[in-house]
Order: sequence, then C-alpha cells, then structure tokens
Amino acid sequence: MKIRFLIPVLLCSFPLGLKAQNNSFNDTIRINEIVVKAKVNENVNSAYRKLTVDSAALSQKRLFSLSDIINESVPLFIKSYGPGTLASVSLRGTGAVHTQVSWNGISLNSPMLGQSDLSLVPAVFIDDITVDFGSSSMFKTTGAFGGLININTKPDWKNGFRSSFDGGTGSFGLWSGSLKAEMGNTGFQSVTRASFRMAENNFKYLNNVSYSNPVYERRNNAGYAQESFMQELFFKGTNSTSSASVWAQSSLRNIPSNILVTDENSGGYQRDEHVRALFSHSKYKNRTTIDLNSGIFYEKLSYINNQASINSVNHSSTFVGKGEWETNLPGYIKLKFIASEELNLVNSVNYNNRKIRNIITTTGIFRKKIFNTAAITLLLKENITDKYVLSPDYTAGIDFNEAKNSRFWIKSNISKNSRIPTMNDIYWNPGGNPNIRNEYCFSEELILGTHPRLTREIDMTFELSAYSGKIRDMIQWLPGESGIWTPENIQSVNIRGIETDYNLKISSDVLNCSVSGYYTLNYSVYHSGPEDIQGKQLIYIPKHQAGGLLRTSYSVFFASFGYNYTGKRFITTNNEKYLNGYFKCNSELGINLFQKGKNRLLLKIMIENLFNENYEVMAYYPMPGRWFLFSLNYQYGR
Amino acid sequence: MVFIFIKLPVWQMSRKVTEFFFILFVSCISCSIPDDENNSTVSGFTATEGIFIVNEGNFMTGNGSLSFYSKESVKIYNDLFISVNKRPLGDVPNSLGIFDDKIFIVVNNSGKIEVTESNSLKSLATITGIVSPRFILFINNKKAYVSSLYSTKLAIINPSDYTITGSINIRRTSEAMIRQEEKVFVSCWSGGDEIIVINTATDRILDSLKVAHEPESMVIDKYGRLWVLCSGSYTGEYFPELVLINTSTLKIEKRFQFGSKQISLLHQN
Repeated sequence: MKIRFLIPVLLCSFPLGLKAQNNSFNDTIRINEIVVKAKVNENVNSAYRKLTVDSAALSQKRLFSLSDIINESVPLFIKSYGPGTLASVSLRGTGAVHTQVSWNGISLNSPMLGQSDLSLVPAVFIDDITVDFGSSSMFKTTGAFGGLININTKPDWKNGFRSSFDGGTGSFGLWSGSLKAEMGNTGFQSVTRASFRMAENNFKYLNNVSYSNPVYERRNNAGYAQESFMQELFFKGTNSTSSASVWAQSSLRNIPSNILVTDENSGGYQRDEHVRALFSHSKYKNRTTIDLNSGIFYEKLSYINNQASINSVNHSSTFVGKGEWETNLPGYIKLKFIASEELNLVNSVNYNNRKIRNIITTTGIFRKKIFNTAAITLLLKENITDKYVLSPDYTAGIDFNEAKNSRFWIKSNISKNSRIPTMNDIYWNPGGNPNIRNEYCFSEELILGTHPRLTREIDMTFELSAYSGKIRDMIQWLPGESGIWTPENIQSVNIRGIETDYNLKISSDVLNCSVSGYYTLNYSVYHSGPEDIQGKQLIYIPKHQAGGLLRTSYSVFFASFGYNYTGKRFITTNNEKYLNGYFKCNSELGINLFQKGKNRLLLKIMIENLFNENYEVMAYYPMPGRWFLFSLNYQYGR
Repeated sequence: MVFIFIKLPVWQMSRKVTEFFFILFVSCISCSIPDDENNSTVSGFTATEGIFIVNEGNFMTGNGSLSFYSKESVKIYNDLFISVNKRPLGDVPNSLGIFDDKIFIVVNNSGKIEVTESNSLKSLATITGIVSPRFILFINNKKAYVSSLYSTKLAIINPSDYTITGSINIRRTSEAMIRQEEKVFVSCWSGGDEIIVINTATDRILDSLKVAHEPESMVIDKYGRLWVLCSGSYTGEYFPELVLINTSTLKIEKRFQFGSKQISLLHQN
C-alpha cells in the first residue's frame, strides 16, 4: 500500500529534476498552465476565500463531466453512485443542498431537490471554474453555506475560425466525443459546443458483502447515454458586451441497485432533459459597471422503477432576472447593489398540482480601503419568498495585503446566511411541510496566504483557511404519522475545519511543470438529536480529504498525474458503521503527433484508477477498478 | 498531519522554499493512509432463550438487520449479523427459520438465504439463485420449500448441504406456507386469491382452493382447521377477509369480511 503513496512523490520529483538539464530541444510544446490561486483585493469579495481552476485542467479531460475533473483541484466531496450516475457535491462538510453550482452567474440547482448533478455538466462546456467558499458565495447567491461552484464560458476575441474535436473510446463500452468551434472577430464571436458520451458501464468488481465468500461480479443496469449542445453568441462594443447562450441536453441513465439487491428486475432508469437559455448585457462607463442577466431554464426529469412502482415525471421551469450595479467612489470606496428575482414553476406527479414560487433578493455591498494595505467589506442581503420577508443576512470582512516583494495576505470574515427550503420540502405529496422555515448559518473564517517572489521561471501560491459555522433549524426528513416522511426544522450541526491549497509552476523553454493540491480537515457534527448521535460526524462527510495534480511536458510528450484521497465516511448517524477511505490516482500520457500550420493532432491515453483501488463512494455501490480511455484531439487554428 | 521530509538532489531555487512545498504536497499524501479498523462487534454474543427479530430495513437500501431479544438479560441485541460476520445481511430480510441448530434467514430482495449457526450466528453458507424468496418451510433434513414473490415456482433446497435441489411449479407466486402432516398449504398473496395444497412426499400439487383476494398469512388451530387472512388489495378494491378452511374436505366453513379496507397483517408461519 505504501508504494502507492510514494509513486506520486517520485513522479513529482522526476520532472523537477529535468529542469536542471541543459538541452536544446526546439520542438517542445507548451501546455497551458494550471492556475489554482486566490485573487487578492480585486473584487468586492476579496476578504473571502476563492479558488480559480484554470482551463488547462479542463482541457485535459474534455471527454469527461465536471464530476470527474474537479476532485483533483478543488477540496470538495462528490457523492456518486457510479460513473455517469447522480453526482451531488458538497463543500466544507455541508450537504448537497448547501452547495450551489451556477452557470455564468445563474444557479443550476434544481428548485425541487435543491441540488445539482455534476455528471450532467460536460467539461467541454466550461471555460473556467471558480469556487467561492462559504460566505464568499453570499456575493452571488443565497443559501450556499458550503460554497458556490461557478462554471463559466467566455469568448476568445480572436479573428477567424478555430476548432477542437476530441474523440475517444475506453473500457466498459465507453464512447465519447466533444466539439468546440469558434468563429468571429474582435467584436463578435460565435461559439458552438457539442458533446456525447455513452457507456455500458459493465465493470467488474469484487463483491465481498453479499455472500459468505468474496465473488467477482459485473455491474449491470448501469449504462448511460448523454448528448449535449450549446450555442453562444458574444458581442463586444466600445463600452459594453452582450451575449446569448442556449444549452440543450438529453441524458438517459440506468440506475443500478446497490449490490445487496440481486433481483434481476431491480433498478430503474432516469431521463433528464434540459433546455437553458441565458442573456446578458454589461456596460462600463467611467467607474461604473452595470450587468443585466436573465435566464430561462426548463427541466424534465423522469424516473421509472417498476419494482418499486415508481413512475415519477417532473417538469420545472425557472425564470431569473438579475441586475448588478457597481461603482468606485473617491476615497477608495466601492459600492455594489444586486437585485434578482427567480420564479419557479413546478409540475410534478409528486405535487398535488402545479406549484409556483417567487424569490426576490436584494443585496447591498460596501467596500472601503483603510490604510494602504487593508480594506473592509460589508454586505447586507434581504430575501423575500412569495409574501414572506425573511430576516436579513449579512457578512462583514477585513483583508490585509502586503505586496512589496512577495505577496502576503490575511483575511477574516463573519456572516449569517439563510437557505430557503426546496420546493420538495414544502410541496412533496405526501409529507411536504408548508410550514417549514428557512435554515440559517452563522460562520467565521480566517485566511492566510502567500505568493512569494522567487525566480522568473517559478511561481507559487499557498493559502490556508480555518473556518467554523453553526447551522441551525436545519431541515431533516423524518418519519411522521402513518410512517410518512416529512421535513422538520430540527437539526443543528456544528462545522469547523481547515483547508490548505498550494500551487507551484515551473516554466522554461524546455520544460513546463505544475503541481497543485489541497488538503482539508473537516469536522461536521450533530449538535442536536438523540444522545447517541450528538457530537458525531455527519454521515457521508469525510474528515480528511486531499487532492493533487501534476502536469508536465517535455519535447512532444506531455503527461499528468492526479490523485484524490477521501477519508473514512460514516454511514450511520451514531458513527458505528463506515466506509474505509480510498486513494484514487489517475494519469494521462500524450504525444503531439502532428503539427503543421493551423493543424494539430494529439494522441492521449488516460488511465483512471491507476492502482486499481477497490472502493465505494456510497455504501454498496462499487466503483470501477483500473480503466482506460484512448483519445485523439484535433485542433485547428488554436 | 504527518510531515515527511524529502530532500531533492538537484535544484536551482531556494532550498527552503522547495522543501516547504514538497513537504506540503507530501503531507497531503501522508494524511491519506486509509483506516482498516473493523466495525464494532457484539462481543461474546450467544443466543440463549429469546426471540430473533428480522428487521426489513428500507426497500432497496440494504440496511436490513437481525436483532435478538434475550429473555434472560431482558436486553435487545441489534445488528447481530453484520457484527458477527462483518458484512451486511442484505436488502429486505423477510423471515427466518430455525432448523437443526441453524438459522435460515430469507433475504427477499437480495435473492438469497443466509445460513448461520443458531448460537453464534456465524455464517455457514449463502444460498443464492432464488427469485425473490419470502418464507422457508422445513420438510425434513434433506428438504425445505421456499416461497417466492415473483416466481411461479416454489424452490426446493437441501438444508443440510445448502443446495437448490429442485422446484415445484405452482403457476402462481407464493407467500406463507404451513404444514399439516403430508400436506403443505401455500398462500398465493401478490395479486392472487388461492391456497395451493402440495403433497410433501411427491412434491406435486394436490389441490387448490379459491379463498379471497390476496391470502397472506395462515395458522392451523387446535382442531386442525386452517385460518387464512386475506389482505384484500392495497388499492382498496377488495375487502380483507378471514377465511376458515376444513383441511380434510378443503371446504370453506366460515368467512369474515372486515369493514375497513385497511388491515394490519400478522404473520404466523
């Protein structure tokens, strides 16, 4: 087992040693670098913790989904029942409903479930990812106690036509393809993206729980197929930009049962169909910026399970309008006002009839520089749901930045945040509770970071964050009268932890190398409930997590190595039963086969779960062992 | 967090900074050594005089379990199977039978029967390949019948060597079973309305009798009469009924219809 942990170290050491070699390769290709760093003193939320995952990490896995690529760069936990199945995400030891995912500023979380499914976001549909941890999310959304994952698309204002096509095939009947085509000039850009992915997913696993002796079995009823299309138009004027985007997607997934269920008729299937449209306009004048965004999202989710007699069809539509006004005043004062309205319409066989909800949010932000190196930030937010005005949310932060030679920063903030119940919490039939109240969270955070000035070729960043929070009136579904489960505001949870992340880049004419990683220690414990669960870790929330990614290129070759460690996760509230931690490594090897003029052809082999770890993310749902993906990437004009 | 020092032989930049970041990277790995501790066990558990309780758990979640109420200590021991055998019992354990100092736990949605020692609960075997088993009825030390929610056949197993030895095609799904001398009465619950009578010597159908909708549980009273509780239908289309059958003539002697279309069902196997 220990050799597994040494190999990443050796792999890290190898390219660093190469740096010292003196050679004269002329055909070295430069890979795009990965940037995982905190921005300092740039935005209104500078006193808060953020991460930016650069596009290079995404370009490595354009044939994958967001759930497959983010774990190596961002400290978060993804609950997955297997490849292609539901992948919900949680940050900082909170639940999936406390972590939001937004597309160009508009939330993708389902108004019914309150969660997002990262397996339905193709990597090729993302140009960059930023993560707002904890209270940092309050500057953009509401109720994301854990944080907000922003997936963004952005134009490259170049002249002419550029394209990139990836096609690949791999283990377990996997076929995948993606296309990104861009066309335009410095004032107009059209970006077209398409993606498909399908797999039988009939991988072999060791079943050591169903029988007296362990037996190798194959997963069945786990196949999936997904097709996605996105078209975007961008316009740039003298002092303004505008865009229109449409994202259509269809996904059909078999939902396998856990391996304790051996009935051939068990399991079901789920079809997800989405159409999303976004329109945005930004105007800059003097020191003032105005952003107007609107979105129309339609989603149809059908889940069929004949054995369980479930035939659930759900339609939801969301209309969002959002306006932001930001200005810089003399005296280093920044003011920002945000107003948004979200209208949710849900038609579900699980609700009595069509339900409508309207949420209006107004936010005021004040930021002022004090002294030369420090600034304070204040935010006040008011949420109005239908007829009810909720108690206001707030946050206050201070940040100190020293940037003479090396950069060094200290940030701290406190906040009160609220989460509005999901529509399922209110309207689910049977069991929905129309009197359910919003949850709220009080939190504090301290952040230390440094960006030392080293040599021209070397760049590094390190950040450490300590946080704590108290979630109160937390919603929990419990069996009520006649055994019908119903949500109640009864649970209290205390959260505290530390996060570290680092990034090291080396760039030279010969070698490019980047190493990034993170480690988190998180305690999320029950503060209320029966005595035997008080003080116990929440189920499916690991205390320890770590991830890392190494990328390097040399001559026409390029390689990457990533790992993710997820610690022990309890599966019962009294912490008596748990799943062991797992250490999963992925690697990629590639070669630049051909490059002439605007044309370029790359061949890649990816090895996922390199050390064939036998692991489960969710109890009794096995994950695949070592598997492979061969792919070709053709680029034109990029 | 355990830090491991690794010194690099060749490096052009500041040594301290290099070491710092490598320590950081490696620290993340060193923290990742998985725990291999075992789950807690019910140490020294031995079944004395008491009652075994089969807990179905939630459908499709695999959290069914086995409990034991000890009359001696007046205590309930939970999660016995997983504690003793270090693996879960399965999805929807439905019933159990005790035979020859062995416990046969019928795990419905896992399609298997777990066989354990009756005192220690240590696993002896897992009998697989049975479609949706519900109940087990022991005929002798070489033969037991297993009913099925979805299959139209009763499985025949050998409780001594834990093999499936055959089946009886009853052309209907089956639920409870009860024996009287050479006859076994089988209730056809899910969507059915009959009692099937089987000859245990030949493993063939002797007769069948229409009772009421969804006959589920059965008992034989001290006069040798068969009482059958029929649950009606969950859609409320049929009323539940209690039916009294003369096991010699296979005639219905009495019929009690319940006023409510909902009834609590008590299994007595």
